[in-house]
Amino acid sequence: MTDEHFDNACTEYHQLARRDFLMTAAGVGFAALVPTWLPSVVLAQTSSSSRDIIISIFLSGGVDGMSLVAPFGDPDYYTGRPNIAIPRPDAAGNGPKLTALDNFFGFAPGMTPLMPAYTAGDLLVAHATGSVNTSRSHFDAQRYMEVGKPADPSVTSGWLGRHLATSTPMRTNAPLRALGLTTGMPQTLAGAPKTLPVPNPANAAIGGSNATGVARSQWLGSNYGTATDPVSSNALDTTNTMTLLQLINFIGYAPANGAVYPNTGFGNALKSAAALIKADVGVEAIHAFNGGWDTHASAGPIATLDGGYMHGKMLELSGTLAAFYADVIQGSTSYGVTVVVVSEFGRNARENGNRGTDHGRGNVAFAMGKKIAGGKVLTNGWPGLARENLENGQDLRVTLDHRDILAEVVQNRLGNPNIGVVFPGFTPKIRGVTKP
Amino acid sequence: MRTNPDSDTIEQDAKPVSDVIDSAPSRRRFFAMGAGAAAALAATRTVDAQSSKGRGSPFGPTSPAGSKQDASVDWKDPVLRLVRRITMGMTPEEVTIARNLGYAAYLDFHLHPEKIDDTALDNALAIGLPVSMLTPAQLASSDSNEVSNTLSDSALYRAAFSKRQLKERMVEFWTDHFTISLTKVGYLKLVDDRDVIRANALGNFKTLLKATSKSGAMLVYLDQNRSQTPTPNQNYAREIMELHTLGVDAGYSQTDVAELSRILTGWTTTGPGNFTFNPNMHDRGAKTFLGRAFPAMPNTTAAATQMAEGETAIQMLVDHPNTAKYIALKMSRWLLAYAPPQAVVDAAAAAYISSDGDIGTMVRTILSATNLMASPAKYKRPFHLAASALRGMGAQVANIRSMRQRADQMGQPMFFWEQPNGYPDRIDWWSGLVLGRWSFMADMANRNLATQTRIDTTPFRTPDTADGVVAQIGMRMFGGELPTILKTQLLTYLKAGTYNDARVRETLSLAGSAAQFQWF
Repeated sequence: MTDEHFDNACTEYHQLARRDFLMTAAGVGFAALVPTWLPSVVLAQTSSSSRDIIISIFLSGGVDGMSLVAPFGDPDYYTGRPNIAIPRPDAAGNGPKLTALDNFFGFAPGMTPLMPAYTAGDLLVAHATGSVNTSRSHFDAQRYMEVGKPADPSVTSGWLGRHLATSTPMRTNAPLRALGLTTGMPQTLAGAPKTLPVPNPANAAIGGSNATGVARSQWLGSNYGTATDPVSSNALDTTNTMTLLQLINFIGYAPANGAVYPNTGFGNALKSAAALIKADVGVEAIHAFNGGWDTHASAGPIATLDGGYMHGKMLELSGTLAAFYADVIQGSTSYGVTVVVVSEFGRNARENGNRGTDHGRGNVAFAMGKKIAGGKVLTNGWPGLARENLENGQDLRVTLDHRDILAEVVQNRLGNPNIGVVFPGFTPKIRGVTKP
Repeated sequence: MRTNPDSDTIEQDAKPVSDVIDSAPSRRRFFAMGAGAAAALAATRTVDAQSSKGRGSPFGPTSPAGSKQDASVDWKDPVLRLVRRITMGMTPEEVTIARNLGYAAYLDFHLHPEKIDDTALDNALAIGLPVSMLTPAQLASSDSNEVSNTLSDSALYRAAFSKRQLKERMVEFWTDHFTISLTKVGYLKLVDDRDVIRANALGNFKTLLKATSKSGAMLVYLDQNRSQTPTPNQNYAREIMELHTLGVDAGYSQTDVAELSRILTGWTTTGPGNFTFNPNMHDRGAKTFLGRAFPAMPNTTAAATQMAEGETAIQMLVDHPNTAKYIALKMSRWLLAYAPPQAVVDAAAAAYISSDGDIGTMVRTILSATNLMASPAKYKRPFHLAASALRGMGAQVANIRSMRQRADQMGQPMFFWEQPNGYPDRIDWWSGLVLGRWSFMADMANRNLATQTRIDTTPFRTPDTADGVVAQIGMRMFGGELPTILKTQLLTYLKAGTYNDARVRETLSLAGSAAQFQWF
């Protein structure tokens, strides 16, 4: 990046941000756009847009995809993991076993809450997928996956950020187009206009005396107006968003169809995402992390192993996604919703001496939505777990670039044809991730 | 396998995509692309320019045309710049010390924390947070919540009130560099914080690194304590190279990770997190690490000799030039600028080598007055912001717990970053969460409980007028360099309502929330 690039782009950005700010300040205000929303009220369609809202979930730490979705059809799965492999679906007895997704792959017991979505054809499982970048560093692998271009340190914006930057808002004058349910700005969203980290949408108040809240908010908007970016634009987005978020009853939100979100940070994050989507305020992309997957030790994937840690992690993930499926995807929303789930890398094909697995390569990914061609496990050929078929003799090979999945969603579900910007230098193969 | 030269697409068949890594420099690729692809990439770059908003060259954030200026343009006084950089925030007392000593002597003063009397802090901690003084064995049988709260409380209390302020800045740095999750290791992190990080924060990097390699907290956090032949655990072997010494991919391979994990088998813990070497867990076979042969050993080999393999390997790491470069880069970023000039990084790396890893020598090299006067402002992380507000508002703290728990909500609860890379030292991660900062300041400025945290407005209301209050804010919170525009804004707010204690507190909260207070 050159200085000219920086200065020009930055000035443009300021002007854009300022213009939007002035427009909204001078116009009707956001409150008028927001219904006095109650959880049980079904809102009228306000847009004919066929674009989906996207929920992007990153499983950080490198999820052990071969435990979540085990390849029971590959005998080397059992020889490489003598202590932590899950018995075949047709294993004798009543003990924990896999639930078959097809004649080769099966869900771990902790993943079965997702069977309804899978059976309904709305959940796609991809396997032996991941990045072309071979890094087994969490941080390099995650970074390149979040920016959407492997091994290019010059790209700092995220793939979803560039999608937002190159698409018109789904709702005109939306004060907030995207958010991370995070304490910092996720790199996936970097570069997106009108985007903030909002760790707890239910707590969007400025604090202090209510009587002076508006005056203090205005004071801060003015004060930050002369600061440099990104601080200034983030502050203006914040003052524009506070009122909006406070109008939404997150605490009293009642999920549809009896959905129950796990009462965990991740479960509550997706519950907040559901409330935001149903409030229909123009948020069109939400990113969340789910961590704790760096299972080098004690990672037996059923309830009775290793204190049930891995099983509990899977239940939290699948339970949250299943609740979101029932509540939002099967519920009534103004826009369609697509969920994508990726992780920086998979883990070694063989277990280590601590009933865990070290950093590996090929992994699972998920996509879920009414317009996702689910109900199948998508691979570009299973590379096999025999030692001679493993990358570096250790790891499941990546045969399906995860960007094929994301790009098809961006193009067909998010309605953005600018794939060359969202995934620079990459020509995706259409693999039937989405329904026509 | 067929590959398309203009893209890194995977072709059909189950072939590994790793064969087609895009390793070409981006500029060459740019010219190699077709027009459409080049335009797309250019658009990407524009978005990047917008998104990074402040990561130009050669020195990080620049001042774009128009009214938006780097916060540092208001910082004329080199001594005050140094106070901002090597402390957790302004206080009138700190400014007095700095002015009396001058730039070089003030930096020197803080580079020798052992000579700075901190008995007031020690006494306050002994009375208020006695758990912080317990032995590992005592901690092991203490209530784990109390241990956790004690460690978190003491971290913020020390950051705000220790006289050894540069040490506190470096403790925060090393706490991230050698991140250990309190959630995973419990009381062992309190021991690590006290006996490893704090004991070496301004000492020698090589000594510090070696201490972390025998810290029970580290060995448990990265699963080293359970690593044994024939199936070693690679977690620590990878991170000691990637995160602690060489830097990612800087001169080691996946094979080196595996070999180092074999070399380190047997490095484990006993009792309440005490380091021990267990020869029964050690792999005595031949290994090759970073090109050096480690011959096989007979089973009669003394335990100390078997363990010495690991010590040799770790010595290779701390002596490696890539370690000098990596530590120099991270320290320069921490102390000077998000994008430090390469010349400064090179000088700091040279200082590492010439001083055999002396941290103070590196700090002195990085923080020359010339370097500092040329560097743009950095954005306070939430922990830093909380400490600087406690300092600037002159908080009287009898029990910091509820204030600290409130500060944690800004997004940086110390010792709770889950991944082994530590809280980011990047403005783009932190700058989005402004609302949490504003509500924190509103909360803090209203605190008036003598048994917990009390902000006494009396010193600010001296003289007891709007002008008096704003002048005191300038002195106490901004070291005397209160930007004119902020002074006007604060006066306008204060005078727009009835002058009383509540209005003064709101003005204090706005001063702490103001854009200008977020930088250092």
